[in-house]
Amino acid sequence: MSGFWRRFARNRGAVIGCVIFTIVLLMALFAPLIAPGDPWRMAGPPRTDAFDPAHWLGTDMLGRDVWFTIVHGARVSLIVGGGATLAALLIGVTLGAVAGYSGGWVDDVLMRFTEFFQSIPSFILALLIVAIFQPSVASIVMAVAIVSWPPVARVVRAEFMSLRSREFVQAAIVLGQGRAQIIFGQILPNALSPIVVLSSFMVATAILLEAALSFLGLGDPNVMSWGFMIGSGRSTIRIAWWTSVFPGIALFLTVLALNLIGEGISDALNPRLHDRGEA
Amino acid sequence: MTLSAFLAFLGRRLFKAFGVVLGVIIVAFFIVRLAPGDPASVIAGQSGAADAQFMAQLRQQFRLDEPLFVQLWIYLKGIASFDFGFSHRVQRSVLGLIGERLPATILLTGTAFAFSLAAGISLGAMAARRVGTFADSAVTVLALTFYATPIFWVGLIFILVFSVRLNWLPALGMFSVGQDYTGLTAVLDVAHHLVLPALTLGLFYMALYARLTRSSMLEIASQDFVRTARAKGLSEGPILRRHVLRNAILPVIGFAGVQAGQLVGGSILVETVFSWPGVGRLAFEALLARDYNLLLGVFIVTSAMAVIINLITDVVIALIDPRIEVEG
Amino acid sequence: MSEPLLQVTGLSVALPAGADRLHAVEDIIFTLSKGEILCIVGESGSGKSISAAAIMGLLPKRLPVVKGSITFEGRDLLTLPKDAMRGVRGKHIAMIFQEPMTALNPIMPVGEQIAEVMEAHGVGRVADRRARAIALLAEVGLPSPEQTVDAYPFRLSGGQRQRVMIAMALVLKPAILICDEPTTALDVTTQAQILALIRDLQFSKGTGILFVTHDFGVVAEIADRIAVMQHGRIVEIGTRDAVMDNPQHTYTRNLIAAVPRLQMRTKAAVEAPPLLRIENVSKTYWRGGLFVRKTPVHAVKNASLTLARGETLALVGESGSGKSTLARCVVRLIESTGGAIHVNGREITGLTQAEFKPMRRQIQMVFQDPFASLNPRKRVGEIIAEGPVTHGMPRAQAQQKAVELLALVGLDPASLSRFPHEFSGGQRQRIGLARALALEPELLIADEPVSALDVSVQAQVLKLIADMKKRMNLTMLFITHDLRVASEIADRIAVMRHGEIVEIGSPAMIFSSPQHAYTRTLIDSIPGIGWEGTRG
Repeated sequence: MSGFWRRFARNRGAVIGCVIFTIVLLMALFAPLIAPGDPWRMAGPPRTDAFDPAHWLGTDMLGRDVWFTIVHGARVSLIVGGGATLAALLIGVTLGAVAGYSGGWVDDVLMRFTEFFQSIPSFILALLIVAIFQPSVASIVMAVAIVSWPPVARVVRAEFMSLRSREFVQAAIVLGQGRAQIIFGQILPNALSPIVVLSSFMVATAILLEAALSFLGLGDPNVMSWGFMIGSGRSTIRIAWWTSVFPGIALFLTVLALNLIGEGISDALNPRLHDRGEA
Repeated sequence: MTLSAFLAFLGRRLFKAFGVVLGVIIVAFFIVRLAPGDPASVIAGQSGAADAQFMAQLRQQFRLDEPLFVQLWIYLKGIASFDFGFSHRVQRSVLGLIGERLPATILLTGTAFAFSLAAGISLGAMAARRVGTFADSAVTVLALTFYATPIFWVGLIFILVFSVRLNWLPALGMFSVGQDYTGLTAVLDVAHHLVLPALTLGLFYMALYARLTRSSMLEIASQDFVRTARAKGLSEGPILRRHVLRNAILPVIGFAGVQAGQLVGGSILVETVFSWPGVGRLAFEALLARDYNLLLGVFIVTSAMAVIINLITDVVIALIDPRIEVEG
Repeated sequence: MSEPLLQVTGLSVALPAGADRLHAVEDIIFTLSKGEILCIVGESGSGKSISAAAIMGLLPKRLPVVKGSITFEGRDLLTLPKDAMRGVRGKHIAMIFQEPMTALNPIMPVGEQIAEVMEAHGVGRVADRRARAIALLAEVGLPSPEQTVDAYPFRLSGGQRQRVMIAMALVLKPAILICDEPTTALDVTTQAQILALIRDLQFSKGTGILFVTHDFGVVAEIADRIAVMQHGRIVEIGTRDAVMDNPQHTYTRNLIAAVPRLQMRTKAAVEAPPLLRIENVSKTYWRGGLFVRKTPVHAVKNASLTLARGETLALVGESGSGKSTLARCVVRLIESTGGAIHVNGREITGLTQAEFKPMRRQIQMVFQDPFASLNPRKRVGEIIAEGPVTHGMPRAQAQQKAVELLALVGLDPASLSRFPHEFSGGQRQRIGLARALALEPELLIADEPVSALDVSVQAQVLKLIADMKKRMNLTMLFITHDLRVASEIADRIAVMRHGEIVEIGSPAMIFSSPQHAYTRTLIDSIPGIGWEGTRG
């Protein structure tokens, strides 16, 4: 594994990604210290311009400090990003493992089911779920998870299928190992790396989805979120651009950081790929 | 591929498409049933705006006194005869409302889809051809950027820059207000309005397809048959076009087809930002008014749209790739 | 012979920094004359394929030529501008590769791929190219060339694809044909046909052929001259007879000695009760799915054989003959669809997995692929101890046993705590053998255990397997495609074709008086069969 970390640390993008993500994480953890008080409250005069000494990212039409909303908004982004990814992994890994290990008609049925969820407009489905179940952090996590598990299932299935026919797994069967021993002891440890890579991208996508839902007014009404701020500044973009622009930048940097980390992990796990394209 | 084999393939594919649409309707039905509370009040929304007569009408529509599967059957039958129910907010049939808005959405998503594929494949191919150079890094950075940017925010920034500051392009709607253009002028007017929303929706997917094309081309370029082509004495141009690119775009088109649903879903955000009078904007309005019957209709119709795009891409792939026929 | 066609002088190709040596090939010197076949022979990593790629100008960027010249028609190919070199490739020097399955573009009809060569070099009119492609397909012996010209590669078998590759190489009547292991991926009977085709071409067209291979049988079959490579250097070069019959370099001698001999011996029939009895076993797959009509595929049809205790039976056949399927039915990695399998008198096909589990100790298996058969995430000690632990042995005791087994298969007991990727292919096969032996089985199934190994390593592992067999009194079912290997290790040989066992007998019987026509074809196809008689 030391080779992995060396390669990862040599990847400039991945290191930048880690730095940005750590900052966002610290912001979310220490939000009450960095930006004390309720982010929803009127902190200053409405529509204070950005770069004002008292409110360096300005205030919105209701006098909310944009900096405060960004610091507190990091929390819901990370909670939804992490929670939905965990839930989606649970669904995706289970279905993918069962499909890939069983093969045959079980695989057929599960893969059609997965394809189905992948080909429908999942954002509208998420919207429907949150709208009908009432917006809350829980319903958002559930909706995001329901629409983001299919890629996990596909990747895990492909890994399981190829590993299952690998000779070391056959050797384990011949030794007399049981199904659980083979799945958890032989196959899963070898299927972990693509799952880890995918997870990092999934957190990014989940954060974007949460922001999109909040943007349309389907965020948890009790929690400050970046998507909500971008949405609330939308109608006043001509006179108070900073209300939408800065939370958007926060969102962009966070998602970018996660993508960079994901690519860094992926490249570090498959150093061979760098040799490609030479001829 | 022979005609009969092609028709057989098309038949299988249509059957599958039909299955997906059926599945969507069933999912829509169960979401409403699984929600806490009386389905009628769920449908009518929490706004309290629903009157007793409407509630009764809803209960009638969904036959809530019947067993669940009878209800599902009735719901399916209704949709099969294009009865999507009634929108209480505007007092009109859901189908009529959607039908009116559909052309605008087809125009927007169709343009964005074509743009994202064309631009994404071109950029990806360029990056792969000059792998390791500045052009390659530039494409990679561009792709990373658009891939990480929320599309609704991109839309706002575009409005801020290209409409508010530079005043180059209109920010809202599909037509210029108060102008009765006809003929070519009308077409140009719509095209003018289309630029920003289509770009906004397309750039994210362009980034996705550019990355995919790049890696797919690099993978194909390392395969044995490309070495064979080189050993034959072919120049790099034909090798890239005929051997690498043609093989490399197959997975990209396939992925784009599967992703069509996401693109159609994303039109809600773009249409909302740009007040584009399409189905997505309708969905947002339905959301604000808690008009769930309308929202369900939008879900089903946009799913059907995604399925049709997916069907088209599958046919395109089958025409390029001779192996599809045997795999079935 | 006259002026050589091709002269390679002092060629050195660098390896990237951090490789185990500085040069992939170093100071290579050889010539190729008109109408001769020069075989470059060597084990993996010897640099033989790199030499071929260097002549074609197809070396990857990370392997630059650092020294030497390659003279063809008075010009040094290494200093030729890119475009001029492109004009040489495919026109004057053509090449065919090892993997026919991947060497053709999957989405282009083969006729177009042949016509492309003419197009690239601006030869012939567009309308004539198709006719020329058809003529070539006929020349390389493909059936119904008018149809084949429009076929996509996936419709063709491996041998047919290799014929297409040869047709493609011959389009412009090149002076030189480079063949990089062109028959390695093919079955032995197909290999014999392709080798005959290449010989014919060389004879009728006077093409100079550079033939890269690892297989001394193939060398014996077609070479006029031989260059032996080791660690990037040519250690010996000379005429076929000189090198094969009177090798000068120790490495050549060892290499030739390591090639298993075709042994016509009869062992005394083993008089013992049968340990394994296979009766009319069949395995039928159903191809197709929900929407496609299902068609049966008979992988194994009514196969019967018995193995006496202590006996070794080699199951021989080409790919798709069902030999691996049958072996896997015995360990129940595949469930047979008909017939009965008795081990130690007990019928096993009807047992549940739980009932079968205690019996698994008696039947163990060694696999083919040294890289896929060991779990990359487990330490060697754990891999070997896994079996006994699964069957209830305390972990510490199993680890102790692993240490003993490592010593037994000739590995350092310190290997225990290392991971599989730290070992070579031959060492991994030893670990795989130790894993199987850890359960002290009575019946050992060996599925092509040496076919992925270099010939010198192959000899060592074969010897180890034979030693272990004797020492632990094993009964062995040995699957192989290589009749030489089969004759060396087996008491009896069973020949399979299309899922059926066509013949069983002692090596002497099989080789001296084969009863079935297919067995005869198989024996005649053994590369270098003529060489066997003259081997010292």
